[in-house]
Amino acid sequence: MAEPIPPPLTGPTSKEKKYDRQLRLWAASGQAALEDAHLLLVNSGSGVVGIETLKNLVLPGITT
Amino acid sequence: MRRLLCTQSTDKYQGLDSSQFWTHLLLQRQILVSTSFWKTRTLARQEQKDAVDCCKNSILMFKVTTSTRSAFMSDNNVSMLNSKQSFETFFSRADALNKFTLIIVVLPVSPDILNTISEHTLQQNKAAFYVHSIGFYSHFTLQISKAFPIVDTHPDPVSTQDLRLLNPWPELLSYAQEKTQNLQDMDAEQHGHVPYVLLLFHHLEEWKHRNGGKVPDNYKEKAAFRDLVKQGMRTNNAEGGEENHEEAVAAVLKSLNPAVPSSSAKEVLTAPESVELTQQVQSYQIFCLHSH
Repeated sequence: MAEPIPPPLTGPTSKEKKYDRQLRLWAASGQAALEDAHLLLVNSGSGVVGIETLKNLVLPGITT
Repeated sequence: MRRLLCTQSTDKYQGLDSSQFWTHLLLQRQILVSTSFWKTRTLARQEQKDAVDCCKNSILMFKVTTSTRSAFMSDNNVSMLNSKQSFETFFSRADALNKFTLIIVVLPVSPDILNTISEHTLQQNKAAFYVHSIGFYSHFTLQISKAFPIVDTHPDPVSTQDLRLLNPWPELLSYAQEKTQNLQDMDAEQHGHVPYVLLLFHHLEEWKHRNGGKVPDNYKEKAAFRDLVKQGMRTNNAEGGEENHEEAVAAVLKSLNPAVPSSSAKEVLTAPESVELTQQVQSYQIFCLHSH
């Protein structure tokens, strides 16, 4: 789940540092949307495409 | 050959971690090698072992390297789902897809499953991505709900700029009058530094005075008004003109228009999705409703 983002005076959290670049792109709201998403991946064929897609969602922080 | 990988929160599937990877067939070693987040070292260590172990290991790496919590299961331990569920039976359950907010489908999958997913996402206003890749060729389809709001956060500034020349609020008008009341008597520096919006207000009042309270509303009148503003510029200085007056002259034609929302914006406000609220109300609809 998304941790609440503290006010800017307290300095960036480790999570904010980790995801700094992408937070500039989609802000905390976008990050929360990503983290709160429940993903169903229906894979087929050799499976590579789905796994690669999954990786690209996991790295920016998709959780459960 | 077909497999299902899914991550989801599981209060229903007790005994699993908060997400699960569920696969019908065992992942092949080549697949693992071809995806960058499985380290070859891990694979080498696992070489003699079952591919399932390898996969479990990589998902453990998921756990270590990201904050993703996940579990892995294959057909071999489907019993963890408390019943014999397979790919098809998973989709045959009416509520199977309810928990998911985002669905990614790697094509080809059977038409039945495709239909189930497609109908479900349309009904529930969810997004579904369809990806089909054949070697170097791939295509990608995004299925979104019927009404999908996209907010243009960086519109063309010209399209949204309104100097309020035709409907100034009282304080703005009195400020403009105060700053331009002795325009003729100002010294060169002061005269060259009156903000151009205030100059426009000053000359607009002058125009209204001469034309019975009317503002220039056609091209001919605007051109005449532009000349009036131009005449106010002092040219007997080193630059041969004044920048603030030049700005004012340049702004006449584009700023002396009544500010009305574009027809497309009005269309959004009156669209059926904006007027009729449903259970899955989106925040923009509330804005629309209150703007009526």
